[in-house]
Amino acid sequence: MCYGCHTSTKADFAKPYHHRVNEGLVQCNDCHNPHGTGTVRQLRAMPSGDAICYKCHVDKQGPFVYEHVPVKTEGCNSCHSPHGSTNPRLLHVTPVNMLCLQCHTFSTQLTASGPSGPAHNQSAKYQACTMCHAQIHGSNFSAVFFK
Amino acid sequence: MEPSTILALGLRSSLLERWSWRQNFSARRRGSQAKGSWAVSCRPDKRRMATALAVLLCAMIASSPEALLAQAPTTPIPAQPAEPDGVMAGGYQIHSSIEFGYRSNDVIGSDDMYNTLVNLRTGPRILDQTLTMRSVDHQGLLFDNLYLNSVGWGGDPNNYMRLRADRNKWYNLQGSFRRDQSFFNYDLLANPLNPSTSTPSIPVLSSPHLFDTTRRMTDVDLTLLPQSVVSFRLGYSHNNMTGPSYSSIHDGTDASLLQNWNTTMNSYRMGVDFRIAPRTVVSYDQFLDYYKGDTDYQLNAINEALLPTTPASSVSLGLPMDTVNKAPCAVPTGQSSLIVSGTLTNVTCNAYSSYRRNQRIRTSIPTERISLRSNYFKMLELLGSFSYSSATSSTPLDESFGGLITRTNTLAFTGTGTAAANRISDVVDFEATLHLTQHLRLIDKFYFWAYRIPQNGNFNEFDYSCAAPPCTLLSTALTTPTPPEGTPTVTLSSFNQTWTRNQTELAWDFSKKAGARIGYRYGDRNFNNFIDLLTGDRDHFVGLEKTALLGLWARPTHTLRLNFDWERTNFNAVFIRMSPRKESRYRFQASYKPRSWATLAGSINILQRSNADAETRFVGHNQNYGLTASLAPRERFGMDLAYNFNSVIQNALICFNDTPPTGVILPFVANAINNDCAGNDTSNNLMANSYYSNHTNFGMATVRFKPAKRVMANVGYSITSVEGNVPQFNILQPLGSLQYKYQQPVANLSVDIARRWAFNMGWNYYQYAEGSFVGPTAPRYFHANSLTESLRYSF
Repeated sequence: MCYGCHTSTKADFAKPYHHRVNEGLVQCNDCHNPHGTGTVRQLRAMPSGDAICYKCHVDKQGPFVYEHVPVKTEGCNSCHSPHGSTNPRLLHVTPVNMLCLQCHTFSTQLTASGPSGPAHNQSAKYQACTMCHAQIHGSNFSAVFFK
Repeated sequence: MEPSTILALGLRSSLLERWSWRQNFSARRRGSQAKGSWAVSCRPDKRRMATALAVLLCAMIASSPEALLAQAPTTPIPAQPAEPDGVMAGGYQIHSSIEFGYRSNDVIGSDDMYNTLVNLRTGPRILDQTLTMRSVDHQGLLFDNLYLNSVGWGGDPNNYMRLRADRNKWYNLQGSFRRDQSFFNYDLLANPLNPSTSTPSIPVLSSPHLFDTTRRMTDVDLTLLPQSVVSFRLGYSHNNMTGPSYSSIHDGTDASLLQNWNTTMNSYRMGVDFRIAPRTVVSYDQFLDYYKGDTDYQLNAINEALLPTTPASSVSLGLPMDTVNKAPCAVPTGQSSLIVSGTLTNVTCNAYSSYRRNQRIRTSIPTERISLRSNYFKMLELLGSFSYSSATSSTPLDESFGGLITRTNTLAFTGTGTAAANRISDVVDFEATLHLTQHLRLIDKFYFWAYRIPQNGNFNEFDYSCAAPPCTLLSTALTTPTPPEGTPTVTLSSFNQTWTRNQTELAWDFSKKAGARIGYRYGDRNFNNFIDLLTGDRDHFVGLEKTALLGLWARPTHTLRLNFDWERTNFNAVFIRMSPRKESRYRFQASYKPRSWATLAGSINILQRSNADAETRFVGHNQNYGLTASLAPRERFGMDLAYNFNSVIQNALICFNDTPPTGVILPFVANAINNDCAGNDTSNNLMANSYYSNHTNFGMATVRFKPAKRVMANVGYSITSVEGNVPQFNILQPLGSLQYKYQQPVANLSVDIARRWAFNMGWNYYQYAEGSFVGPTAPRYFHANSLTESLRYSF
């Protein structure tokens, strides 16, 4: 029923990488409350205020000893397109190192100490950032999300 | 290169036997490796499929040749049989249906990509089952209404069952079970893109972060006495994810890990509603989420080489194999390769002989909430809630490594300790709607969310070196750690954020044909990250958001609807670099129904974001234009059409470090400005505009026709076409998912073969083809036929 008006959303869910709405596994009202919410886009939230994404992706909720800051401050959709994407893992941008570099470039404008860039040669093995920083959503043992 | 050294990320048979999950997964891998190639052909009965296709095609041509010119959707619309009669029993009107059949598949090309995108396999299926029972006089014994539906049993990657039941005034029950089998192997993700110049040259043929997991979710909610002054709610959810994936760990080099998932979340809910006044309900809810993470990690011994010892033992050299860049090490002088006849020629090489890590996480999240909803006063609607939550999480560190880390001369280490974190959060959510007049209302929404996450990590790593560094893989580790007391890590930190947002809108319905709303949203984020409570190191950030809102709607005729929304946001500061300082959203939707059988709709969604800071210069947009048409001019003929264009552009300055191999010129790197970043970041001396674009065209068409009274058919086609560009940092980096076509023709045929019986046949074709070069990994192209034949019985 939602697709009748939200045609762009229908196209999102037709993309190769998508949440399984067309397959019937997920329904629009799993994430959105059609009657309205206090948050924008009529998004539902967990009772604790956390993003509704954690209802299924429970391992990402934490709390972690080392939080990846944008996950908490900007939300999952700072890196992921929640409906569907042409990129694997519903990422906004591919390849992954491009996604990382856009934030991990030094900037003096940030009030807080911004993340410095990776001192890795992008032409060598280090172009796959998440190969080393595998626990990128948050870690309990590594401040740089290695484990 | 010896076949045995090719990195395929598959496990050896010994490991396969040790891990039960492997059975399913290894079958796939064995299937692919048996051919000695990445390309796989999952062959069901091709002749049978061809015959069935021919039957399907002939039936369609005979019925409506012109229909073949039309096109169809991603998911075929099943032909619906006529409304069944149902039966009466025990005072219930009962309808039921079941559809069972067989699915055949024929995959040519990358089986891994097929499973990533489609994952429908051959075998018998219960495709759909429905049961509806309705008490005719609302005097049912256990329930008045019952609805049960389930889909996909027998091996489909997604299946679910949903249940609804109610007994007038006594209870409402809703339940569901969902199972999601997720396979992912897009081989460019986290791939080190090993170059051919390495000796040996060993490409990584699968994603180092491959997934083959299954998530099972159960949700049950029961409301007792729903229409009474006091009603009660009980709920339970269970979410369990199991299965294997690959992960990686960086210590010396990057080892491949087998990550055996086992995570469980049990959620309990109970609440009570008090109807304290007419149209006014106060509710109290108690939630308890309990998370158990029992995922462990073990070395996936890939790229193995023998050590020159007697008896010979082996080590894993890990994922990156680039001897020119000394990953995991260089080829020693006088040797032709790092591995000769299966034996390692450089024993001062980063390598793993063992690795293990257990992560037993336990998290408890109790939450309580009190809420109010009321429209007691005719002019005022109120909705509000307050939640308090206090999460507690703890996990011990249990890690061990054996091998060689050359940088620190470490031959072994063990990690112990405990990590603990809490999250205390308060949420206030309040909305009031004041009806000033019959056509004018004021709406205010207030949202407050404050949390703090005190964190406490206390770890100790005991490193074991050799007696006379530099160590080699042949050295004997000392029995006492270096330094003797180990390397303690103590983290005492806290991650706090307070977020307040208020939105006020004035909505005016000019008439029944048009209306408008205008509003303003104010947000305030206060972020405190105490990086180290012992030293006082702290990040502090205050960000303000100011948004203007405008909405217009019109219904000039009863056949035409128009909606327009606009938001303009200014942020005084940003916390992460790619957050915008200015953001504009435009949304336009139109729906036109010129005939009772025709609906036309269109939409425009535009999101523009920018950050004009001289060091960022971020500009980006996400534009989406869509058109749909649904036409059914005759009872026996209908058509659906859709087109959507999506344009994503992001551009920002980035600083990076890139030294291409000798003789390789990368335009993006060559044109980058040298030393612009060096003042702030000496490690990344190149600066350039990181222009990223992604243009996606999606088209879909489907034609439904009923050539005879008992026959219904659909044919269709859909395509997703992606064209994009991204800076090339590495000569081996293909565009991958930025340039491909994904096509899905479909056809369905349904024949009522007898009373209550229908025969259905569906054909789906999938083709995924990238336009860029493959890269140093396995090709990702595939095409596949999927044929489903089924019988449906309904009454």
